Amino acid sequence: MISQVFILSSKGDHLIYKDFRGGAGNDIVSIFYEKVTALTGDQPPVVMNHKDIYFVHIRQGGLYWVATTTAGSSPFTITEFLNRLAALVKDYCGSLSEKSVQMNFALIYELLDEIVDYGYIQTTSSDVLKNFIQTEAVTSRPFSLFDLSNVGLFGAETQQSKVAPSSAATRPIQSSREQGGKSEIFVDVIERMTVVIGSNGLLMKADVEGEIRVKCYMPSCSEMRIGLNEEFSIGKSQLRGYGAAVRVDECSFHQAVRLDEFDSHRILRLCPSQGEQTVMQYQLSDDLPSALPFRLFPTIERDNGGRLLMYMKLRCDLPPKSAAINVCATIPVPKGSMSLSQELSSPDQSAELKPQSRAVVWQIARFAGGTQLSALFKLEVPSLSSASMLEVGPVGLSFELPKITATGLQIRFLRLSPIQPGPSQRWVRYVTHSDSYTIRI
Amino acid sequence: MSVCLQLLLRSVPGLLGPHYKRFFCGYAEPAYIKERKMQVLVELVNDENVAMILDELKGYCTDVNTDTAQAAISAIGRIGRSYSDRCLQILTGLLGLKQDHITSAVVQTMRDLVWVCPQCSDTVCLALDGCEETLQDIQGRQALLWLLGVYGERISTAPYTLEVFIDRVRSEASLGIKMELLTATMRLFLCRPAETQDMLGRLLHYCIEEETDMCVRDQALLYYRLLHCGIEKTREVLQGRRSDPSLGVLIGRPAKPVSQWARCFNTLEPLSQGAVEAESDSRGSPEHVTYNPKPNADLSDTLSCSHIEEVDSGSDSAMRCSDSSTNVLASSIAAPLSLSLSPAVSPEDFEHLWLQRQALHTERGAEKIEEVDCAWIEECVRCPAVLHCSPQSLQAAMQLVNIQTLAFTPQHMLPWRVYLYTHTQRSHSMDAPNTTLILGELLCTGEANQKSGVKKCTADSEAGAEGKEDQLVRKEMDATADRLRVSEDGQEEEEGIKVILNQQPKDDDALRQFLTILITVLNTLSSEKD
Repeated sequence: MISQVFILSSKGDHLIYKDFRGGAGNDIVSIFYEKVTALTGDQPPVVMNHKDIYFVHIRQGGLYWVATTTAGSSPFTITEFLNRLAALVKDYCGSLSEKSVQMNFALIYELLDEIVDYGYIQTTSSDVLKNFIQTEAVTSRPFSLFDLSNVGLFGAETQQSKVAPSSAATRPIQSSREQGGKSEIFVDVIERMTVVIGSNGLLMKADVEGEIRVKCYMPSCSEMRIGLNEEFSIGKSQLRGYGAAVRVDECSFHQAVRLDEFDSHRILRLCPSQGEQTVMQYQLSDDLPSALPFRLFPTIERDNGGRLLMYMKLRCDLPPKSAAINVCATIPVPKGSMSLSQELSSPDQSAELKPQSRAVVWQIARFAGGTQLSALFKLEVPSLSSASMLEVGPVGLSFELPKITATGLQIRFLRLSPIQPGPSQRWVRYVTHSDSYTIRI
Repeated sequence: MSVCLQLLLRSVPGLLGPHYKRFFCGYAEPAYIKERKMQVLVELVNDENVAMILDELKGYCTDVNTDTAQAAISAIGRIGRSYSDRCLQILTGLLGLKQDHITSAVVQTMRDLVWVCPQCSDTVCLALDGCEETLQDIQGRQALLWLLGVYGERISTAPYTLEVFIDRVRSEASLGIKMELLTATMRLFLCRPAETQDMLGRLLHYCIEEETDMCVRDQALLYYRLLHCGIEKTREVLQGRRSDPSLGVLIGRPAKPVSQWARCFNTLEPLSQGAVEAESDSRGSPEHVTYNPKPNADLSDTLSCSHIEEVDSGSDSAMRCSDSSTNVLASSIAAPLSLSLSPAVSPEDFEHLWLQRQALHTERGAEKIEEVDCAWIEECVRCPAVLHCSPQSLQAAMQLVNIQTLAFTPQHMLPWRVYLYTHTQRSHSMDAPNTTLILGELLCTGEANQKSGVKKCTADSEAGAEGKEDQLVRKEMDATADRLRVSEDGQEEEEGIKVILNQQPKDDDALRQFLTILITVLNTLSSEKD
């Protein structure tokens, strides 16, 4: 099975190295790093081989997580193992970064000892490991104003008690002996959109992949019930126009979820283990209930002075109260474009020409729903011909839509039973972001 | 994972048809994923979705990453084998962009397309006008020269383009371009002598007198002497095939059975076998695909019962059939195995080794022969027409894949026997031996009442190799009249050819692969004769 596991920083520093089989030479790590850096600018494939040894790696938190193995093992198992290892380290150390791995190397070695035995994977469940891991995590929490008292001016309650910062979910899970600490549950509904719009404005492909993730900081396991929308349905309906409002094509659940109340009331029951787990994953294609968030109306022409004029009108079709943040449009331009002059409608947008990736990058910090923004770009292209207008390629958009789900999935309630003795807090967050939103011109 | 998908698609072609949209590439995906997705998209093409898929691929052709763009263009070329009009339209449009990597990929794709679909040649000839200024890289220029040579009579500016190349030949660094230039100029001379004569003379003069590389010089000398033999001979040699429509039709390939790859499905083995039959786009001109350097010409001295001298002259027809056979082979040999004829085995050594192993096999009986570390296989192949091949063509065909035939009975004499050997070499071997020697015999008794069993060799060669320990002893020198085999359909007029192989040291994988190669050659030969 697995011969070695090691973690490298993005610069190639050895952070963790563990050899289970004792067979390989000392230079394994440098061989791997050479292979990775040999492919300049491009992502290396997940599985690479060097003579008889296969390297399987993932990148998370800016670190390389690598396992080496022989030809007979299943690459999917090892990739899944590496993903779970990274998730476990994240649970135990709070956040995943080079610094946290360096501070907690003893804990990580202990984890590896328990998880893998002589190259064979034993368990990656944090419930089971809770009984064996003794080391405490060391964290450095960034200073935050939210840590100051919750009480506002004149004793009134402030907004702070109702909104938790995103760093609240990044503290390490407690080991079995400590009883202190707040018990909290964070539920995230995260969706990714992949959309391709053709040059005639018609939708060619639209896919949404979503998951419900639960991060649990409760010391004892109690049952949790998550209620989804009542009208949530799975599968395509036969009659068009009579379909349910909230629909997915297929969904899959974590193995610990009990579905006896799902058919009748759309309630999921599970006992979450400490740390993060994905409770449900679902997919929807080609039939989104809401309108597409962005549409583009481009006009590309050549002016008399031999310059390329691109007039981009981007329209946001979200409901008026919501907004998209960090919107970034990447417009490929013909080779040899030299300089860009732009006219943008507001100062918080910016655009620049990136010669290496041969594209104009237009960034918008915040895009309110129901509005449209336009920009005019003038490019100097020395040898402009009518054929090179073909090179103004498909526009790629990346964005994040907070508090919105594309499928309309909502969590109606979250109940814990038995009722916890101390105050327990439940937090829910929705976000949709773009996986690959392409608009052809 | 995409490697697994490709394996799956080869066995169950219709499986992923409706889901082709899933394989459209996102713009930020890493290049290796995009290439794999494009390969899968090509396999999913059918009449309904071809327009959408071509549109998608057209969008990728202008990708920033040049490798991705070139992969997209060759994917369009492969779809063009079945849907040539649309693809040619797209390719011609891409030429208008005047970008060197795109033009180079388009010209190479057009060359490959024309080789398979000669009906596209008109459109291609029209499109080639003006390409030469934009082409910078070696493969693109080689492809252009090949096209100019073969279709020169239809391209009006061909002599002038060649003249530009010939004027620059002194500063040309690439060996492949010079060779291609020689061949193209000769071909053009044959159809347009008046315009080309002068520059051909200059080119030959340069290559023979001033060129330092021996390959080019020898080629030029060959052409010079050929011209001296007369124009008819030259035409015969140079104007070979222009196309091979049997290659590469997308739809209609026989599906490989699932059992062949099910064993290694969820492991890392498919990756170690190299690209799973991915067509290589950077090969040279199609006729040179079969180029195999032949070692040990002195083998002819030691052979007593074969006619080597006549091989060359009679090899024209053999070249043709082996051309297609090795084309098929080139795409089906898994990377690790290569065959070679060195060190040479003389007939006496062969006889000695054969009888020795035969005796050992007899002694042991049905027990496992692991101590002696050699393997036996016996298979039956149904291709009776091989009997009607001349020994020379059989030998030439075998030699092209580096199998040496040592002895055979004269044509049309029964029982018909051929003895052959080869050395297998594995480049990537973990626990298998690096080289093995395989001795083989092909036998056909030709008795009408002998029932011959047919085993599908590719699917069951695994079973055949593993069942070798169970096979009873046979002495092939004895009469085979009383041998009966289980038959599925007892046809009496068609006989099968029995293939007996002995390999030392034992390497099951190599033996199986060799058996596949051998059977492919036999099948090709017999189909040529039909």
